[in-house]
Amino acid sequence: MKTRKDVLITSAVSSLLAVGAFTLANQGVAQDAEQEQERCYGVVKAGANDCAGPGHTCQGQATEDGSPQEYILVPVGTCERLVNGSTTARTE
Amino acid sequence: MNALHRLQRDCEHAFRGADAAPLLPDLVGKAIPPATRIEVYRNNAREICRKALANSCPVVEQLVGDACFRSLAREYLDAHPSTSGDLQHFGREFPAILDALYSGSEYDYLGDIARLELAIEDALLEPEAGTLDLDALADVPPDRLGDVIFTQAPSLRLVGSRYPLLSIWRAHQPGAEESVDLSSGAEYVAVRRVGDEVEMRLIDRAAFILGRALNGGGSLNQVWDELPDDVREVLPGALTALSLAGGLSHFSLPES
Amino acid sequence: MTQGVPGGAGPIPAIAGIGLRGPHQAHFLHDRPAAGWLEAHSENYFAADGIAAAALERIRADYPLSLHGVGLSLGSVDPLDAGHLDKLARLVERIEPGLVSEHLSWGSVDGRHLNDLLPLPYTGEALAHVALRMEQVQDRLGRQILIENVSSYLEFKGSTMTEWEFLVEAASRSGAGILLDVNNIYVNSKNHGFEPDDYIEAIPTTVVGEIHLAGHTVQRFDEHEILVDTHNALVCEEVWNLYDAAIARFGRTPTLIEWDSELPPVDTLLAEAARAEQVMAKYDERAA
Repeated sequence: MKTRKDVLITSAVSSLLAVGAFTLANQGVAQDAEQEQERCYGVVKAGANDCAGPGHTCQGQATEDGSPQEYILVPVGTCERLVNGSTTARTE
Repeated sequence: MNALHRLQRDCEHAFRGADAAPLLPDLVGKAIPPATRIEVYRNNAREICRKALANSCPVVEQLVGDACFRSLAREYLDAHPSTSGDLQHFGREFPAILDALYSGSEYDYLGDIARLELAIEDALLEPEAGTLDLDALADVPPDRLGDVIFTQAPSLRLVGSRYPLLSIWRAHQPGAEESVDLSSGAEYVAVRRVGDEVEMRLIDRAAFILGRALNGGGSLNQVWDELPDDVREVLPGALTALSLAGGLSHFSLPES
Repeated sequence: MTQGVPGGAGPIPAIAGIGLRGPHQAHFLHDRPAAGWLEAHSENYFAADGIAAAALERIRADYPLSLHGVGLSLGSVDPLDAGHLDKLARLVERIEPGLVSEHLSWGSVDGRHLNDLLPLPYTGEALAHVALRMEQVQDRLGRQILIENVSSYLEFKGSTMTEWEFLVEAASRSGAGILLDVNNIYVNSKNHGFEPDDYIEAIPTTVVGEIHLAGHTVQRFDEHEILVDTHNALVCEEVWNLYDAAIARFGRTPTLIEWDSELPPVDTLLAEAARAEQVMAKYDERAA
């Protein structure tokens, strides 16, 4: 007697095999490139340790000696381009 | 403690912004005061931290803006001093810092964006995956399918959010200017290395939950027991979607 | 004398090269611009299976390559990081770089890293410590390393010798060569008030295996000016003059243009390298 579990697991692997040939045929080829998929960085990504190279930088960041630092923890960047945030998204 | 150790410890305290008094008597004071000289190193410490985080999380930096990001980097430096001479994984606690500050606020999504950006960085460091041997899988006897254990690509990272994560990321790539509707719903992203690049694909919630469960290394039978009922119901679609997103690289079948 | 062309793997030639940075990596992989040689930051390639390490291996087939470490923290009293050293050793084994270099500095104490290149006090204690660690690194790698002088913004009262005496002695005791950063000499001469020519003249003519050139920033802190080694600008005229003096003393030496922040197009770096070549060519003629 096959259980629901057996049926669904068998069906899952069968389904995977059925579309498998399609998957293999499309290895490395953009599918649904418009919406579904995004490629990025790769070898052009800056190495993390370049920042820490023998120089790093602090140009223009000089602060008054010993003065307390101003903390700005309220985002003031492009968050404003994200609309309908506070009300709907959290109620999911 | 020898003299060199004491001096390095005093330097470290001073350069992190703690009390510089113990170090001051050790410094030459000609022309430029020691306190000013220490300030150069304090500045370096903050800038190194800021640049490392910005290198890892450029979208978060754009979202919060320059001034806020600087403050976040200072919070981070205080909370998570670097423990390695290699900065590659320096930002790993950044999502937690963002969650602690913004969870439940209108900036609730920032932690998830940082998780996606760190996942991209992680994927860059992992090997490329092999492809699933479908012929071998087709040969598994039907009564043994429940014992099959799927292995995920080493570079695969699954990141989910109740916010439109990939849409936000995409809107902050060079040239993009569109707005994103935060109420457009959850997005789940499969991140992995493909050749010389990192690929991100949207997957559905069921595939995401299945992928997370498979990551535990259990057989399909064992994974089944962990899945919520609504995901069990759509298991064929979820497994196929995960495979299409490149999420499965190998399978094994233990001896019966 | 012109830039070299991609000539494949080999020792670092005594010509000008440029730093290899992530954003330029694809250009070097696919377009193979003519550059004498390249230098990469070792730590960026520590993930053996990652994209960057595979790319470096391919670039290595086309260009002489040097590996330059930024995080080993040779001068720290913390134990040498065995994991870090292992990763460096594996990378060196795989890439077979023409040169391997590290900094004469420290960066961590009690396990906490500042990821900066911090100056040591020029004392007998620090000298014995750092020279021993340089030996340990060379033993582990099975080859000589070059040790680079760093920029500094403060000096310790406890120092009992000059920076150049410390550098020369550390190299001599450990058997390491010297990577002489001419910009760092200039920066320190301004920050600490010494004659940069004195520094260069104190370096033995046979130990310099490489020279670095970079841009710096003059930064104001209150009413004071401090030169900060920012690697974000063209090499300044004063440093070119000092480089001239260095080549006059040491002869033709592999010379690297370093640029880390606000990275310009590769052509800007190659133009700087071409200028270094002109300086070296001038002394070729005199020697001939």
